Amino acid sequence: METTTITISKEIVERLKIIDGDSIEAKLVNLLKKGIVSQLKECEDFILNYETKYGMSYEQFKILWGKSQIENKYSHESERDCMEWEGFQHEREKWLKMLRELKDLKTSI
Amino acid sequence: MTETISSFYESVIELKKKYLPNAEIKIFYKRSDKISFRILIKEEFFIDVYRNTQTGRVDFTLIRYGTRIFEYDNSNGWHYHPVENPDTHIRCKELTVQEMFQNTLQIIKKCINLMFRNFNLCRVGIAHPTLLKVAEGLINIFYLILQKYVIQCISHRTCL
Repeated sequence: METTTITISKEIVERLKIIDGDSIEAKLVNLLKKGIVSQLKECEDFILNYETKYGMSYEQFKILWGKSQIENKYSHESERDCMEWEGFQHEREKWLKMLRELKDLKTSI
Repeated sequence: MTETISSFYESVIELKKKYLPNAEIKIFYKRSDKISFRILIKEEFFIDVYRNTQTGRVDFTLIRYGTRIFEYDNSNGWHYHPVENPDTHIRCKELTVQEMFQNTLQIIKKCINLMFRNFNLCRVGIAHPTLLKVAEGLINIFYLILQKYVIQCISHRTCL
């Protein structure tokens, strides 16, 4: 694995004691994982709002959108919801991918 | 458009400060790759802005009393929703934030001029002697109905 040297102040190293992990690197990986999970949870909350509003998943919404079966499809609200919902779906995928990558990384540490 | 969310937001804020200094900003959410916020010009009159650097989406919508007046967005290619018929799409070239803001500003100016014109027409209408007489007559009728109701209530002692 390729490595790089970073400098961390003693104060930060001291505070890292509260994080799980046998080494600084393991602690940083755990911190990163927690950060990603937190972002993922926020993202899921936004998605849940759209799922509740339309009573369906994004995949179902896209199918109905393609068939022009979404009520007021061309209204600003519907178009904006479609755009923002898509954005959160992409974000969710991004965080899940990062978690997978981190898992692979963790096993190789 | 290859800017970050922060640089996009800052450029819109700079334009707002310059052209709409009294407008307020309400951020709905700001994340690493996307932002959704509102430029509140006055109550029920605002621009809703959305930018997503991951999907490349941009949306710039002028709304008044819950109705879209004008919009730029790039879902399925760059287009705008014209003032004359905001539910239709008209294809256009890719625009910069400055261009979108400036063009939307022109629509805002037109809307404000129209609001002032309507307001003045309204004032002229109210000051018209015939309308004043009609309003006076309606108030008198309302007063008579109310008086009759109160008398009825007192006589039957059913008034709350």
